[in-house]
Amino acid sequence: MGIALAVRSLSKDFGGVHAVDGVDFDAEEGSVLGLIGPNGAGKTTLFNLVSGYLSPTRGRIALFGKEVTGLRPFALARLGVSRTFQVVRPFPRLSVLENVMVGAFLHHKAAAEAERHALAVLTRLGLARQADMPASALTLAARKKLEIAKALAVQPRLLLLDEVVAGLNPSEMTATIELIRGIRQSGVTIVIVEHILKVILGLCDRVVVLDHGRKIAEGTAPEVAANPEVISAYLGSDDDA
Amino acid sequence: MSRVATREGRRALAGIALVLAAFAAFPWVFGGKLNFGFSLVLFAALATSWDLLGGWAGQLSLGHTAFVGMGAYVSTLLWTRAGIPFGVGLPLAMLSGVALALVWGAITFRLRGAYFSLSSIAVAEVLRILANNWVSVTGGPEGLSLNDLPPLFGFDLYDRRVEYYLALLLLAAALLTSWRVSSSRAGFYLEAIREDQDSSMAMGVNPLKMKLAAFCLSAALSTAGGCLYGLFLAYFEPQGAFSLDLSVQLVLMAIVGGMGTVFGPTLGALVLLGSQEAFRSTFQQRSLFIYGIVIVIIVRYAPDGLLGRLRLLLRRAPWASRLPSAP
Repeated sequence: MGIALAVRSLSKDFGGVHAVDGVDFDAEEGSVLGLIGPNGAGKTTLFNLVSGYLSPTRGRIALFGKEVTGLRPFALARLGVSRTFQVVRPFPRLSVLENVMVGAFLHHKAAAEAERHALAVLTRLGLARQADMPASALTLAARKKLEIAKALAVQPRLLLLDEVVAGLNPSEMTATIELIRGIRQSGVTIVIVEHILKVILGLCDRVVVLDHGRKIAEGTAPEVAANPEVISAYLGSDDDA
Repeated sequence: MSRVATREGRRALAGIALVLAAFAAFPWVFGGKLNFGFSLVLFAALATSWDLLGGWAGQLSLGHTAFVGMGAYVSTLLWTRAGIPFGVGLPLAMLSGVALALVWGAITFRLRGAYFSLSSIAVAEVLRILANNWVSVTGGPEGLSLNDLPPLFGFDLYDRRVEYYLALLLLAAALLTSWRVSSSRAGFYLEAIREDQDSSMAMGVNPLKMKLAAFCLSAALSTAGGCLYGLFLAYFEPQGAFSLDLSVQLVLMAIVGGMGTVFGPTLGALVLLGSQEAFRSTFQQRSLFIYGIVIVIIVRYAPDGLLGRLRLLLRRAPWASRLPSAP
Protein backbone atom coordinates (compact mmCIF):
# COMPACT_ATOMS: atom_id res chain seq x y z
CA MET A 1 0.00 0.00 0.00
CA GLY A 2 1.27 3.45 -0.91
CA ILE A 3 0.90 6.74 0.85
CA ALA A 4 -2.23 8.66 -0.13
CA LEU A 5 -1.41 11.88 1.68
CA ALA A 6 2.00 12.99 2.92
CA VAL A 7 2.29 16.20 4.91
CA ARG A 8 5.78 17.54 5.70
CA SER A 9 6.62 20.33 8.18
CA LEU A 10 3.40 22.02 7.20
CA SER A 11 2.93 25.45 8.78
CA LYS A 12 0.46 28.27 8.55
CA ASP A 13 0.89 31.61 10.26
CA PHE A 14 -1.87 34.16 10.66
CA GLY A 15 0.03 37.29 11.57
CA GLY A 16 2.00 36.22 14.63
CA VAL A 17 -0.17 33.18 15.36
CA HIS A 18 1.19 29.77 14.37
CA ALA A 19 -2.14 28.10 13.60
CA VAL A 20 -0.36 25.04 12.20
CA ASP A 21 3.26 24.61 13.13
CA GLY A 22 5.56 22.08 11.47
CA VAL A 23 3.15 19.18 11.24
CA ASP A 24 4.21 15.87 9.63
CA PHE A 25 2.07 12.83 8.98
CA ASP A 26 1.23 10.20 6.38
CA ALA A 27 -2.14 8.72 5.55
CA GLU A 28 -1.77 5.25 4.09
CA GLU A 29 -3.86 4.40 1.07
CA GLY A 30 -7.17 2.86 2.06
CA SER A 31 -6.82 3.74 5.74
CA VAL A 32 -8.76 6.02 8.05
CA LEU A 33 -6.69 8.66 9.80
CA GLY A 34 -8.19 10.52 12.73
CA LEU A 35 -7.27 14.11 13.51
CA ILE A 36 -8.07 15.17 17.05
CA GLY A 37 -7.20 17.93 19.46
CA PRO A 38 -8.78 20.50 21.73
CA ASN A 39 -10.64 23.50 20.29
CA GLY A 40 -8.24 25.82 18.53
CA ALA A 41 -5.64 23.10 18.01
CA GLY A 42 -5.44 23.84 14.27
CA LYS A 43 -7.51 20.95 12.88
CA THR A 44 -9.68 23.09 10.64
CA THR A 45 -6.69 25.12 9.41
CA LEU A 46 -4.93 21.86 8.58
CA PHE A 47 -8.01 20.72 6.62
CA ASN A 48 -8.10 24.01 4.77
CA LEU A 49 -4.42 23.60 3.86
CA VAL A 50 -4.78 20.03 2.63
CA SER A 51 -7.92 20.87 0.60
CA GLY A 52 -6.36 23.96 -0.98
CA TYR A 53 -8.46 26.66 0.71
CA LEU A 54 -5.34 28.08 2.34
CA SER A 55 -1.80 27.95 1.06
CA PRO A 56 0.84 27.03 3.60
CA THR A 57 3.41 29.47 4.94
CA ARG A 58 5.96 26.63 4.93
CA GLY A 59 6.00 22.93 4.26
CA ARG A 60 4.75 20.55 1.60
CA ILE A 61 1.80 18.39 0.75
CA ALA A 62 1.99 15.35 -1.55
CA LEU A 63 -0.93 13.38 -2.91
CA PHE A 64 -0.25 9.81 -4.05
CA GLY A 65 3.40 10.73 -4.40
CA LYS A 66 2.72 13.89 -6.38
CA GLU A 67 3.57 17.33 -5.04
CA VAL A 68 0.37 19.40 -4.75
CA THR A 69 1.40 22.23 -2.41
CA GLY A 70 -0.42 25.45 -3.24
CA LEU A 71 -2.95 23.99 -5.67
CA ARG A 72 -6.44 25.51 -5.52
CA PRO A 73 -9.42 23.45 -4.28
CA PHE A 74 -10.89 22.81 -7.75
CA ALA A 75 -7.54 21.57 -9.05
CA LEU A 76 -7.22 19.23 -6.07
CA ALA A 77 -10.77 18.00 -6.63
CA ARG A 78 -9.73 16.90 -10.11
CA LEU A 79 -6.82 15.00 -8.54
CA GLY A 80 -9.21 13.17 -6.24
CA VAL A 81 -9.42 15.26 -3.06
CA SER A 82 -12.85 15.96 -1.67
CA ARG A 83 -14.02 17.47 1.60
CA THR A 84 -17.00 18.26 3.76
CA PHE A 85 -17.43 21.43 5.80
CA GLN A 86 -17.95 21.44 9.55
CA VAL A 87 -20.72 23.99 9.11
CA VAL A 88 -22.65 22.22 6.35
CA ARG A 89 -22.86 24.15 3.10
CA PRO A 90 -25.61 22.90 0.83
CA PHE A 91 -26.58 24.98 -2.20
CA PRO A 92 -29.85 26.06 -0.54
CA ARG A 93 -32.03 26.85 -3.55
CA LEU A 94 -31.02 23.78 -5.54
CA SER A 95 -32.77 20.47 -4.99
CA VAL A 96 -30.97 17.68 -3.13
CA LEU A 97 -30.38 15.89 -6.43
CA GLU A 98 -29.05 19.04 -8.11
CA ASN A 99 -26.69 19.62 -5.18
CA VAL A 100 -25.13 16.21 -5.73
CA MET A 101 -25.15 16.57 -9.52
CA VAL A 102 -22.78 19.54 -9.24
CA GLY A 103 -20.18 17.11 -7.93
CA ALA A 104 -21.14 14.33 -10.33
CA PHE A 105 -20.43 16.63 -13.29
CA LEU A 106 -16.71 16.45 -12.50
CA HIS A 107 -16.47 13.01 -14.08
CA HIS A 108 -19.73 12.88 -16.04
CA LYS A 109 -20.02 15.71 -18.55
CA ALA A 110 -23.46 14.84 -19.90
CA ALA A 111 -26.37 15.94 -17.71
CA ALA A 112 -28.23 12.63 -17.95
CA GLU A 113 -25.09 10.72 -16.90
CA ALA A 114 -24.43 13.09 -14.00
CA GLU A 115 -28.03 12.72 -12.88
CA ARG A 116 -27.81 8.93 -12.92
CA HIS A 117 -24.58 8.97 -10.92
CA ALA A 118 -25.99 11.50 -8.43
CA LEU A 119 -29.10 9.37 -7.91
CA ALA A 120 -26.90 6.36 -7.21
CA VAL A 121 -25.00 8.31 -4.56
CA LEU A 122 -28.26 9.51 -2.99
CA THR A 123 -29.61 5.96 -2.90
CA ARG A 124 -26.43 4.75 -1.21
CA LEU A 125 -26.87 7.41 1.49
CA GLY A 126 -30.59 6.84 1.91
CA LEU A 127 -31.48 10.28 0.57
CA ALA A 128 -33.19 9.21 -2.64
CA ARG A 129 -36.67 10.00 -1.32
CA GLN A 130 -35.67 13.60 -0.66
CA ALA A 131 -34.07 14.00 -4.11
CA ASP A 132 -36.48 16.68 -5.30
CA MET A 133 -36.68 18.66 -2.07
CA PRO A 134 -34.86 21.98 -1.88
CA ALA A 135 -31.71 21.46 0.18
CA SER A 136 -32.78 24.24 2.54
CA ALA A 137 -35.78 22.14 3.65
CA LEU A 138 -33.71 19.22 5.01
CA THR A 139 -33.23 18.40 8.70
CA LEU A 140 -29.74 18.80 10.17
CA ALA A 141 -29.11 15.05 10.02
CA ALA A 142 -30.15 14.93 6.37
CA ARG A 143 -28.04 18.00 5.59
CA LYS A 144 -25.02 16.28 7.11
CA LYS A 145 -25.70 13.29 4.88
CA LEU A 146 -26.07 15.59 1.89
CA GLU A 147 -22.68 17.08 2.74
CA ILE A 148 -21.16 13.59 2.50
CA ALA A 149 -23.13 12.87 -0.68
CA LYS A 150 -21.77 16.02 -2.34
CA ALA A 151 -18.23 15.03 -1.39
CA LEU A 152 -18.71 11.46 -2.66
CA ALA A 153 -20.23 12.58 -5.96
CA VAL A 154 -16.85 13.77 -7.23
CA GLN A 155 -15.56 10.18 -6.78
CA PRO A 156 -12.67 11.08 -4.47
CA ARG A 157 -9.60 9.01 -3.69
CA LEU A 158 -8.97 11.05 -0.54
CA LEU A 159 -11.96 12.16 1.49
CA LEU A 160 -11.63 14.77 4.24
CA LEU A 161 -14.52 14.61 6.73
CA ASP A 162 -14.89 17.54 9.14
CA GLU A 163 -17.10 16.59 12.11
CA VAL A 164 -19.77 14.78 10.12
CA VAL A 165 -20.96 12.85 13.19
CA ALA A 166 -21.17 15.64 15.76
CA GLY A 167 -24.74 16.77 16.37
CA LEU A 168 -26.38 13.50 15.31
CA ASN A 169 -28.52 11.34 17.61
CA PRO A 170 -27.18 7.89 18.59
CA SER A 171 -28.93 5.90 15.88
CA GLU A 172 -27.96 8.38 13.16
CA MET A 173 -24.44 8.30 14.57
CA THR A 174 -24.23 4.52 14.24
CA ALA A 175 -25.58 4.72 10.70
CA THR A 176 -23.02 7.34 9.71
CA ILE A 177 -20.15 5.31 11.19
CA GLU A 178 -21.34 2.33 9.15
CA LEU A 179 -21.49 4.54 6.08
CA ILE A 180 -17.91 5.75 6.58
CA ARG A 181 -16.77 2.12 6.99
CA GLY A 182 -18.45 1.32 3.71
CA ILE A 183 -16.71 4.24 1.96
CA ARG A 184 -13.37 3.06 3.31
CA GLN A 185 -14.04 -0.47 2.11
CA SER A 186 -14.58 0.86 -1.40
CA GLY A 187 -10.91 1.91 -1.32
CA VAL A 188 -11.17 5.59 -0.44
CA THR A 189 -8.60 6.99 1.97
CA ILE A 190 -10.25 9.00 4.74
CA VAL A 191 -8.99 11.73 7.04
CA ILE A 192 -11.53 12.57 9.71
CA VAL A 193 -11.75 15.33 12.31
CA GLU A 194 -14.01 14.35 15.16
CA HIS A 195 -14.46 15.03 18.85
CA ILE A 196 -16.49 11.96 19.69
CA LEU A 197 -14.22 9.24 21.11
CA LYS A 198 -16.54 6.42 20.00
CA VAL A 199 -16.09 7.49 16.39
CA ILE A 200 -12.34 7.77 16.65
CA LEU A 201 -11.98 4.39 18.42
CA GLY A 202 -14.41 2.68 16.08
CA LEU A 203 -13.09 3.96 12.78
CA CYS A 204 -9.49 5.11 12.80
CA ASP A 205 -6.43 3.03 12.01
CA ARG A 206 -4.19 5.80 13.22
CA VAL A 207 -4.74 9.03 15.09
CA VAL A 208 -2.79 12.29 14.95
CA VAL A 209 -3.20 14.62 17.93
CA LEU A 210 -2.75 18.37 17.51
CA ASP A 211 -2.40 20.98 20.22
CA HIS A 212 -1.61 24.66 19.64
CA GLY A 213 -0.84 23.87 16.00
CA ARG A 214 1.76 21.18 16.82
CA LYS A 215 1.54 17.43 16.53
CA ILE A 216 1.90 16.12 20.09
CA ALA A 217 1.17 12.44 19.49
CA GLU A 218 0.50 9.85 16.84
CA GLY A 219 -0.45 6.19 17.00
CA THR A 220 -3.38 3.80 17.18
CA ALA A 221 -6.46 5.13 18.94
CA PRO A 222 -5.86 3.21 22.24
CA GLU A 223 -2.18 4.26 22.29
CA VAL A 224 -3.06 7.88 21.82
CA ALA A 225 -5.85 7.77 24.40
CA ALA A 226 -3.35 6.50 27.00
CA ASN A 227 -0.68 9.09 26.15
CA PRO A 228 -0.14 11.42 29.14
CA GLU A 229 0.61 14.42 26.89
CA VAL A 230 -2.69 13.96 25.11
CA ILE A 231 -4.55 13.68 28.39
CA SER A 232 -2.95 16.87 29.69
CA ALA A 233 -3.72 18.69 26.43
CA TYR A 234 -7.39 17.89 26.87
CA LEU A 235 -7.69 18.13 30.64
CA GLY A 236 -4.81 20.43 31.54
CA SER A 237 -1.80 19.15 33.55
CA ASP A 238 -1.06 19.71 37.22
CA ASP A 239 1.56 22.30 36.19
CA ASP A 240 -1.12 24.47 34.64
CA ALA A 241 -3.09 24.61 37.86
CA MET B 1 -38.98 17.09 -11.79
CA SER B 2 -35.33 17.56 -12.54
CA ARG B 3 -34.75 20.00 -15.32
CA VAL B 4 -32.27 17.76 -17.06
CA ALA B 5 -34.95 15.22 -17.80
CA THR B 6 -35.14 15.43 -21.56
CA ARG B 7 -38.91 15.81 -21.39
CA GLU B 8 -38.66 19.09 -19.51
CA GLY B 9 -35.83 20.24 -21.76
CA ARG B 10 -38.00 19.68 -24.81
CA ARG B 11 -40.93 21.42 -23.18
CA ALA B 12 -38.76 24.50 -22.60
CA LEU B 13 -37.62 24.40 -26.22
CA ALA B 14 -41.24 24.25 -27.35
CA GLY B 15 -41.91 27.22 -25.07
CA ILE B 16 -39.15 29.20 -26.75
CA ALA B 17 -40.63 28.41 -30.18
CA LEU B 18 -44.03 29.56 -28.94
CA VAL B 19 -42.71 32.84 -27.52
CA LEU B 20 -40.79 33.59 -30.71
CA ALA B 21 -43.81 32.76 -32.89
CA ALA B 22 -46.01 35.09 -30.84
CA PHE B 23 -43.48 37.92 -31.17
CA ALA B 24 -43.08 37.20 -34.89
CA ALA B 25 -46.81 37.81 -35.35
CA PHE B 26 -46.68 41.13 -33.47
CA PRO B 27 -46.09 43.44 -36.47
CA TRP B 28 -49.16 42.03 -38.23
CA VAL B 29 -51.40 42.53 -35.21
CA PHE B 30 -50.03 45.81 -33.85
CA GLY B 31 -48.51 47.29 -37.00
CA GLY B 32 -48.77 50.81 -35.58
CA LYS B 33 -46.90 49.97 -32.41
CA LEU B 34 -43.61 48.84 -33.91
CA ASN B 35 -41.53 51.25 -31.82
CA PHE B 36 -42.98 49.75 -28.67
CA GLY B 37 -42.57 46.24 -30.10
CA PHE B 38 -38.91 46.84 -30.88
CA SER B 39 -38.21 48.11 -27.35
CA LEU B 40 -40.05 45.14 -25.87
CA VAL B 41 -38.15 42.53 -27.87
CA LEU B 42 -34.79 44.28 -27.51
CA PHE B 43 -35.18 44.68 -23.75
CA ALA B 44 -36.33 41.08 -23.39
CA ALA B 45 -33.15 40.02 -25.21
CA LEU B 46 -30.95 42.33 -23.12
CA ALA B 47 -32.54 41.24 -19.84
CA THR B 48 -32.11 37.56 -20.80
CA SER B 49 -28.45 38.26 -21.60
CA TRP B 50 -28.00 40.10 -18.29
CA ASP B 51 -29.52 37.14 -16.48
CA LEU B 52 -26.82 34.75 -17.76
CA LEU B 53 -24.43 36.50 -15.40
CA GLY B 54 -26.86 38.04 -12.90
CA GLY B 55 -29.42 35.29 -12.44
CA TRP B 56 -27.44 32.13 -13.13
CA ALA B 57 -24.06 33.09 -11.71
CA GLY B 58 -25.47 35.54 -9.15
CA GLN B 59 -23.14 38.36 -10.18
CA LEU B 60 -25.43 41.38 -10.16
CA SER B 61 -24.02 43.76 -12.74
CA LEU B 62 -25.34 47.31 -12.63
CA GLY B 63 -23.17 48.26 -15.57
CA HIS B 64 -24.59 46.37 -18.53
CA THR B 65 -25.35 49.68 -20.19
CA ALA B 66 -21.60 49.67 -20.90
CA PHE B 67 -22.12 46.91 -23.49
CA VAL B 68 -25.18 48.59 -24.97
CA GLY B 69 -23.33 51.87 -25.39
CA MET B 70 -20.26 50.10 -26.65
CA GLY B 71 -22.29 48.25 -29.30
CA ALA B 72 -23.96 51.45 -30.48
CA TYR B 73 -20.71 53.40 -30.59
CA VAL B 74 -18.45 50.72 -32.11
CA SER B 75 -20.85 49.69 -34.88
CA THR B 76 -21.57 53.32 -35.74
CA LEU B 77 -17.95 54.45 -35.67
CA LEU B 78 -16.86 51.48 -37.78
CA TRP B 79 -19.32 52.64 -40.45
CA THR B 80 -18.87 56.40 -40.26
CA ARG B 81 -15.06 56.36 -39.82
CA ALA B 82 -13.93 53.21 -41.57
CA GLY B 83 -16.76 52.42 -43.95
CA ILE B 84 -17.29 48.98 -42.44
CA PRO B 85 -20.95 48.05 -43.04
CA PHE B 86 -23.31 47.03 -40.25
CA GLY B 87 -23.24 43.32 -41.12
CA VAL B 88 -19.49 43.22 -40.42
CA GLY B 89 -19.50 45.90 -37.75
CA LEU B 90 -21.92 43.97 -35.55
CA PRO B 91 -19.72 40.87 -35.03
CA LEU B 92 -16.69 43.14 -34.58
CA ALA B 93 -18.56 45.12 -31.93
CA MET B 94 -19.51 41.84 -30.22
CA LEU B 95 -15.83 40.92 -30.10
CA SER B 96 -15.02 44.27 -28.52
CA GLY B 97 -17.75 43.61 -25.93
CA VAL B 98 -16.20 40.23 -25.11
CA ALA B 99 -12.77 41.83 -24.79
CA LEU B 100 -14.20 44.41 -22.40
CA ALA B 101 -15.88 41.66 -20.35
CA LEU B 102 -12.62 39.69 -20.09
CA VAL B 103 -10.65 42.66 -18.76
CA TRP B 104 -13.51 43.88 -16.57
CA GLY B 105 -14.18 40.40 -15.15
CA ALA B 106 -10.54 39.51 -14.58
CA ILE B 107 -10.22 42.60 -12.39
CA THR B 108 -13.56 42.70 -10.58
CA PHE B 109 -14.56 39.04 -10.16
CA ARG B 110 -12.14 38.89 -7.27
CA LEU B 111 -14.62 41.14 -5.50
CA ARG B 112 -17.66 39.48 -4.02
CA GLY B 113 -21.29 40.42 -3.63
CA ALA B 114 -22.14 44.10 -3.55
CA TYR B 115 -18.57 45.10 -4.38
CA PHE B 116 -18.84 43.59 -7.84
CA SER B 117 -22.13 45.46 -8.41
CA LEU B 118 -20.63 48.76 -7.30
CA SER B 119 -17.55 48.33 -9.46
CA SER B 120 -19.77 47.57 -12.46
CA ILE B 121 -21.41 51.00 -12.14
CA ALA B 122 -17.93 52.49 -12.20
CA VAL B 123 -16.97 50.70 -15.43
CA ALA B 124 -20.06 51.99 -17.23
CA GLU B 125 -19.42 55.51 -15.91
CA VAL B 126 -15.83 55.44 -17.10
CA LEU B 127 -17.00 54.52 -20.61
CA ARG B 128 -19.64 57.27 -20.55
CA ILE B 129 -17.09 59.86 -19.52
CA LEU B 130 -14.72 58.56 -22.19
CA ALA B 131 -17.41 58.88 -24.86
CA ASN B 132 -18.22 62.35 -23.59
CA ASN B 133 -14.67 63.67 -23.62
CA TRP B 134 -12.82 61.89 -26.40
CA VAL B 135 -14.41 64.31 -28.82
CA SER B 136 -12.13 63.63 -31.80
CA VAL B 137 -13.28 59.99 -31.97
CA THR B 138 -16.73 59.83 -30.39
CA GLY B 139 -18.06 63.25 -31.26
CA GLY B 140 -18.33 64.03 -27.56
CA PRO B 141 -21.58 65.23 -25.96
CA GLU B 142 -23.04 66.11 -29.36
CA GLY B 143 -23.37 62.42 -30.07
CA LEU B 144 -23.32 60.39 -33.26
CA SER B 145 -25.67 59.79 -36.16
CA LEU B 146 -25.87 56.53 -38.03
CA ASN B 147 -26.84 57.59 -41.55
CA ASP B 148 -26.73 56.17 -45.06
CA LEU B 149 -26.21 52.52 -44.12
CA PRO B 150 -26.43 50.30 -47.20
CA PRO B 151 -29.08 47.55 -47.14
CA LEU B 152 -28.12 44.30 -45.38
CA PHE B 153 -28.79 41.31 -47.66
CA GLY B 154 -31.25 43.49 -49.52
CA PHE B 155 -33.11 44.61 -46.37
CA ASP B 156 -33.42 48.31 -45.64
CA LEU B 157 -31.87 48.77 -42.18
CA TYR B 158 -33.97 51.88 -41.53
CA ASP B 159 -37.21 49.96 -41.98
CA ARG B 160 -38.76 49.47 -38.50
CA ARG B 161 -39.98 46.04 -39.52
CA VAL B 162 -36.45 44.92 -40.41
CA GLU B 163 -35.12 46.32 -37.14
CA TYR B 164 -37.88 44.53 -35.25
CA TYR B 165 -37.01 41.16 -36.76
CA LEU B 166 -33.29 41.71 -36.15
CA ALA B 167 -34.14 42.25 -32.48
CA LEU B 168 -36.26 39.11 -32.55
CA LEU B 169 -33.29 37.15 -33.93
CA LEU B 170 -31.27 38.41 -30.98
CA LEU B 171 -33.99 37.38 -28.55
CA ALA B 172 -33.97 33.92 -30.15
CA ALA B 173 -30.20 33.72 -29.66
CA ALA B 174 -30.47 34.87 -26.04
CA LEU B 175 -33.27 32.45 -25.15
CA LEU B 176 -31.52 29.51 -26.82
CA THR B 177 -28.26 30.35 -25.03
CA SER B 178 -30.09 30.55 -21.72
CA TRP B 179 -31.87 27.25 -22.43
CA ARG B 180 -28.60 25.57 -23.35
CA VAL B 181 -27.02 26.81 -20.12
CA SER B 182 -30.00 25.73 -18.03
CA SER B 183 -29.70 22.10 -19.03
CA SER B 184 -25.94 21.71 -19.03
CA ARG B 185 -23.02 21.39 -16.68
CA ALA B 186 -22.25 25.10 -17.08
CA GLY B 187 -25.66 26.02 -15.65
CA PHE B 188 -25.18 23.81 -12.60
CA TYR B 189 -21.71 25.21 -12.03
CA LEU B 190 -22.94 28.80 -12.28
CA GLU B 191 -25.78 28.13 -9.85
CA ALA B 192 -23.38 26.42 -7.45
CA ILE B 193 -21.15 29.52 -7.54
CA ARG B 194 -24.18 31.73 -6.90
CA GLU B 195 -25.33 29.62 -3.96
CA ASP B 196 -21.95 29.05 -2.28
CA GLN B 197 -18.74 29.82 -4.11
CA ASP B 198 -16.44 28.19 -1.53
CA SER B 199 -18.41 24.99 -1.42
CA SER B 200 -18.51 24.83 -5.23
CA MET B 201 -14.70 24.91 -5.41
CA ALA B 202 -14.48 21.73 -3.34
CA MET B 203 -16.55 20.01 -6.04
CA GLY B 204 -14.20 20.92 -8.86
CA VAL B 205 -15.72 24.23 -9.97
CA ASN B 206 -13.29 26.97 -11.01
CA PRO B 207 -15.36 30.08 -10.14
CA LEU B 208 -13.28 32.68 -11.98
CA LYS B 209 -13.27 30.67 -15.19
CA MET B 210 -17.01 29.98 -15.08
CA LYS B 211 -17.92 33.57 -14.24
CA LEU B 212 -15.73 34.85 -17.07
CA ALA B 213 -17.38 32.44 -19.51
CA ALA B 214 -20.87 33.59 -18.45
CA PHE B 215 -19.77 37.22 -18.64
CA CYS B 216 -18.41 36.78 -22.18
CA LEU B 217 -21.66 35.20 -23.40
CA SER B 218 -23.67 37.92 -21.70
CA ALA B 219 -21.39 40.62 -23.13
CA ALA B 220 -21.52 39.30 -26.70
CA LEU B 221 -25.34 39.26 -26.71
CA SER B 222 -25.66 42.61 -24.91
CA THR B 223 -23.24 44.33 -27.29
CA ALA B 224 -25.18 42.98 -30.26
CA GLY B 225 -28.27 44.48 -28.60
CA GLY B 226 -26.41 47.79 -28.36
CA CYS B 227 -25.69 47.71 -32.10
CA LEU B 228 -29.40 47.26 -32.79
CA TYR B 229 -30.28 49.99 -30.31
CA GLY B 230 -27.94 52.40 -32.11
CA LEU B 231 -29.53 51.43 -35.41
CA PHE B 232 -33.01 51.97 -33.98
CA LEU B 233 -32.16 55.38 -32.50
CA ALA B 234 -30.05 56.43 -35.51
CA TYR B 235 -28.87 59.30 -33.31
CA PHE B 236 -27.54 58.95 -29.78
CA GLU B 237 -25.22 60.68 -27.30
CA PRO B 238 -23.17 59.40 -24.33
CA GLN B 239 -25.76 60.32 -21.70
CA GLY B 240 -28.39 58.11 -23.32
CA ALA B 241 -26.19 55.30 -24.61
CA PHE B 242 -24.44 54.74 -21.28
CA SER B 243 -27.31 55.53 -18.91
CA LEU B 244 -27.45 53.90 -15.48
CA ASP B 245 -31.25 53.80 -15.87
CA LEU B 246 -30.91 51.26 -18.64
CA SER B 247 -28.75 48.98 -16.47
CA VAL B 248 -31.25 49.21 -13.62
CA GLN B 249 -34.17 48.50 -15.94
CA LEU B 250 -32.58 45.25 -17.12
CA VAL B 251 -32.04 44.15 -13.53
CA LEU B 252 -35.65 44.96 -12.60
CA MET B 253 -37.00 42.99 -15.56
CA ALA B 254 -35.04 39.91 -14.52
CA ILE B 255 -36.10 40.28 -10.87
CA VAL B 256 -39.76 40.82 -11.73
CA GLY B 257 -39.91 37.89 -14.15
CA GLY B 258 -37.63 35.53 -12.27
CA MET B 259 -33.84 35.42 -12.14
CA GLY B 260 -31.96 32.34 -13.26
CA THR B 261 -34.80 31.12 -15.46
CA VAL B 262 -35.05 30.91 -19.25
CA PHE B 263 -38.34 32.84 -19.62
CA GLY B 264 -38.29 35.08 -16.54
CA PRO B 265 -36.49 38.12 -18.02
CA THR B 266 -38.72 38.09 -21.12
CA LEU B 267 -41.82 37.94 -18.91
CA GLY B 268 -40.41 40.78 -16.80
CA ALA B 269 -39.81 42.93 -19.88
CA LEU B 270 -43.36 42.23 -21.03
CA VAL B 271 -44.91 43.15 -17.66
CA LEU B 272 -42.84 46.27 -17.00
CA LEU B 273 -42.78 47.76 -20.49
CA GLY B 274 -46.36 46.59 -21.10
CA SER B 275 -47.73 48.28 -17.99
CA GLN B 276 -45.76 51.41 -18.77
CA GLU B 277 -47.17 51.48 -22.30
CA ALA B 278 -50.73 50.69 -21.22
CA PHE B 279 -50.85 53.56 -18.75
CA ARG B 280 -48.88 56.02 -20.85
CA SER B 281 -51.97 57.67 -22.35
CA THR B 282 -54.03 57.71 -19.15
CA PHE B 283 -51.30 58.80 -16.79
CA GLN B 284 -48.86 60.46 -19.17
CA GLN B 285 -45.86 61.55 -17.11
CA ARG B 286 -47.09 59.48 -14.19
CA SER B 287 -46.52 56.21 -16.07
CA LEU B 288 -43.28 55.81 -14.14
CA PHE B 289 -45.39 55.90 -10.99
CA ILE B 290 -47.30 52.84 -12.27
CA TYR B 291 -43.97 51.19 -13.01
CA GLY B 292 -42.98 51.66 -9.38
CA ILE B 293 -46.27 50.26 -8.08
CA VAL B 294 -45.96 47.15 -10.26
CA ILE B 295 -42.48 46.51 -8.88
CA VAL B 296 -43.62 46.94 -5.26
CA ILE B 297 -46.54 44.54 -5.75
CA ILE B 298 -44.37 41.90 -7.38
CA VAL B 299 -41.57 42.09 -4.85
CA ARG B 300 -44.17 41.83 -2.08
CA TYR B 301 -46.24 38.94 -3.48
CA ALA B 302 -43.81 37.10 -5.76
CA PRO B 303 -40.32 37.61 -4.35
CA ASP B 304 -38.92 34.84 -6.58
CA GLY B 305 -40.38 36.53 -9.65
CA LEU B 306 -43.62 36.04 -11.55
CA LEU B 307 -42.49 32.82 -13.20
CA GLY B 308 -42.01 31.06 -9.86
CA ARG B 309 -45.40 32.36 -8.67
CA LEU B 310 -47.12 31.12 -11.84
CA ARG B 311 -45.60 27.66 -11.45
CA LEU B 312 -46.85 27.49 -7.87
CA LEU B 313 -50.37 28.50 -8.92
CA LEU B 314 -50.40 25.91 -11.71
CA ARG B 315 -49.37 23.19 -9.29
CA ARG B 316 -52.20 24.12 -6.92
CA ALA B 317 -54.86 24.40 -9.62
CA PRO B 318 -57.73 21.87 -9.47
CA TRP B 319 -56.57 20.10 -12.61
CA ALA B 320 -52.97 20.02 -11.41
CA SER B 321 -53.26 16.40 -10.25
CA ARG B 322 -53.13 15.41 -13.89
CA LEU B 323 -49.77 17.09 -14.31
CA PRO B 324 -46.74 14.91 -13.66
CA SER B 325 -45.68 15.71 -10.12
CA ALA B 326 -42.61 15.08 -8.03
CA PRO B 327 -42.30 11.50 -6.78
